Amino acid sequence: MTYAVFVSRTKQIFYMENGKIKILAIDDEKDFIEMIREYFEVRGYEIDALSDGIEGIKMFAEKPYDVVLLDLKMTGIDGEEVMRRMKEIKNNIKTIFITAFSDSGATKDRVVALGAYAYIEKPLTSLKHLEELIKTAAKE
Amino acid sequence: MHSVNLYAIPPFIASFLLFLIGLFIFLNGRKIKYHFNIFLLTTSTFIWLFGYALMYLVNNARAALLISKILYTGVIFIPIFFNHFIVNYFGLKDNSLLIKLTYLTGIIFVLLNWGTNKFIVGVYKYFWGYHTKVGWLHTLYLAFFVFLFIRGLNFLREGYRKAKSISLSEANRAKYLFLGFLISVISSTDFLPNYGIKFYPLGFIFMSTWVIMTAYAIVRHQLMDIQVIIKKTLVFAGLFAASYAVISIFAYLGSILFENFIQNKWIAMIPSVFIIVLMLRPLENYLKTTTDRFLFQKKYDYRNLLKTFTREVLTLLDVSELVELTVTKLTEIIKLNNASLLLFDITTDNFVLAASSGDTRASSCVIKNDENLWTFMLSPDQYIMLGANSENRENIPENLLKEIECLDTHLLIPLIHNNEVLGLLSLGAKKSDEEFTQDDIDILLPLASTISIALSNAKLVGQVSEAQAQAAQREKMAVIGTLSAGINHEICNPLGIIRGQCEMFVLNNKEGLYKDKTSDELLEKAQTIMEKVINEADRASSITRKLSAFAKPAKGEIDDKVEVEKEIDEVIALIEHELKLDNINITKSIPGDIPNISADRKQIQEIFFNLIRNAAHAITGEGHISIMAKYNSGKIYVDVRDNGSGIEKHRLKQIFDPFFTTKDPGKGTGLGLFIVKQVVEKNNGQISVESESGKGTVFHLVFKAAEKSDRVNIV
Repeated sequence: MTYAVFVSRTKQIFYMENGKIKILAIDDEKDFIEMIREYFEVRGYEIDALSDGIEGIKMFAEKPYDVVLLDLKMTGIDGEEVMRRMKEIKNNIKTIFITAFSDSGATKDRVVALGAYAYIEKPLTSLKHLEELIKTAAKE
Repeated sequence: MHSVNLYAIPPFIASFLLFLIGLFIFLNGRKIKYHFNIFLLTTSTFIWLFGYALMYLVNNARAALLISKILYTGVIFIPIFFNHFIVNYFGLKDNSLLIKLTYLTGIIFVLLNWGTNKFIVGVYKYFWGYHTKVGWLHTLYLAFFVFLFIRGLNFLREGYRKAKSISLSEANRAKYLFLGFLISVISSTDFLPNYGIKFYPLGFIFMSTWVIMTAYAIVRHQLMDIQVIIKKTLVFAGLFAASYAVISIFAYLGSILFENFIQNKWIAMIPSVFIIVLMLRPLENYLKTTTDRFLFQKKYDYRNLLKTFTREVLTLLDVSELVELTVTKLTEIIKLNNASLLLFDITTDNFVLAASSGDTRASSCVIKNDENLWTFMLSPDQYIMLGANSENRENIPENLLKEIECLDTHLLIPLIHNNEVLGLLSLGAKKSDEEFTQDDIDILLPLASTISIALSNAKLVGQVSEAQAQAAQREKMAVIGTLSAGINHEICNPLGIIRGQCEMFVLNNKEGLYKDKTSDELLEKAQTIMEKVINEADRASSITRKLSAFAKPAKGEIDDKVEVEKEIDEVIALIEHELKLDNINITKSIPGDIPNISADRKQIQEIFFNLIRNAAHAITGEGHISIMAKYNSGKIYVDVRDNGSGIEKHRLKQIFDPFFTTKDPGKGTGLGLFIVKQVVEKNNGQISVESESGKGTVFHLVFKAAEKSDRVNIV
């Protein structure tokens, strides 16, 4: 067992407390966030689904999460700002943006530069794909 | 041998002339009071003259006395009707009591006439036949008669003075009226034989003069607003025949005279024939100039023509309205049989009929734009004149004549402005059969060139408004581009949910997550998913439908079915999400029973879309947009208010100018409010703005409410 593998394993064990990946999902589109919650819940993930950025930040400060799913354009404060504030709390947070906002890549490049883990445009090609992405993110 | 009493003929003819002109006036304005008055007046004079004509014919004193009493029933009312007519004609101050009194007096005289033998005592027998013999009561009537006639003539003089201050034509009418009546008064000498003076009553002469003067004043000066168009040839033929008859009589009398010397009837006729032939040409020429001078020249009013065109026609900015009104007004004012206007169509190189009026078969008329036309159109004059006996006709090539035949034209004028050929103006024959004179040409050519200018203006305006419509559409498409973020959100979210719900069901099933579910539970699960899918699909399609409806170019068709609230809702649906993201809250307050707007539906949407978006752009941070509508006496008032940054006072004046913008360079084309204003005005609306820097802006819109609103108020 190499050191790298060891680190990765311990990380996994550390983050996957109770063996479950913890997800925080924030999107002001209620129907969407409900669907996400249902999908991951039945598959044994621990997921908190919220529709407000401020509440999300509060939640993030209280509980440890493996992955944060974020909508970009939201009423109140937007996803970019949510990520910025979360990073102040915990810098190595893995955020996956899921958004219907499309501007030929400019926003994607910007948020990735700001430290986002991934940027997915709606409509999602597949929930399965998102799950894989979350799993990978949580493992790293 | 019993022969007809010749003395009866003149009053007989005069009585009929009077009756006919009275009837003619009456039929030409049954609802006008004074037309009826004059009809009564001529009828009473008819009874007078016709009565005497009859009286001269009878040879029985008893019958003559009866006729006397009957005809006097008419005579008594002559001064009363005359007086009443003058009062009504000039619209003099109401002395209705006095007028009623005159009628009452008339009735008393009629009763006295029939009831006593002090009004008419009997009859005289003169060389011309029986005549009325009157008593002392008649003298009383005569005083009444004189009083009313003097009063009437005084009114006439007063009316004439008043008319002179109104207009020349009013004065002319009053003048003929005054002179006519003044002359007709001379016929009161007919009362002389009533008192035993042996004087053949010549009243018919003066009454006929009155008829002729009145008829002339009607034809020439539209007396009593009667417009008569008399065929020139008809009048000319009549006058010529009458004059020639007189000459022929003299010539005939001459030949009888000669017969005494020469004894041969046929040779005796030679000098007469010679005289007749010799007189033919000068008489014709004399009558021609006389009729032209007195009856026909300046038949239409040049001033009226110019006034109508400068005030009503040349100001029009719509090509089709302009051409339509040009031909109708020309036909109406110059009194033409027809008029047509052809516009030059550059694509086919033809002149195509744009408008025609009057009796015409020009509807299928297409004239080729060829050399032939222009050779004759431009030299030596700027027109083609084609009268019935115009020498011009011979000079024009056969094929050109054939081509313009469908226009029935008598005068063809090209419409040219700035060396650009715009069209052809064709004027048909005048209704009076007169030819176009140099006077006509002198006024019609400059008029045609002003029509050309107006036409060219209207064409330009048409092009500009087309360009504006295109600019509005471009602006709209640009706006839709910037909108796409919001629209995308509204479409992609539902699609994402639809896809996710279905995928989740499939995956759950595949991964055995539904293993322990009963089929009922599964069915219920599927049911919930389907419902969600349907909802989201509806949501996506509703936004695309709204978007594509909005993106389509407006047709500019105004109808009465535009519901202000519905249109605002459609617009809000398009930008709601964008507004929400910007933390702008939008409210509206529109009464449920507000009537529809008379406008173009799409353009109303464009207006509100631009205003709401502008309002949103003026807001930084949180903000509020409110839309309020209300109805008040035929108008719909809509306010679009925001609490954004507002506009500085000195810039407020400019905001409707094209290319004015307060946005950063590259962010706005600046066409927004300029186009909004154009579109509002195109929909018969008004837009104004009020703003206070730092506090917000409000746009006030006013639209015309639809007259018949078919909106049902659903409670």
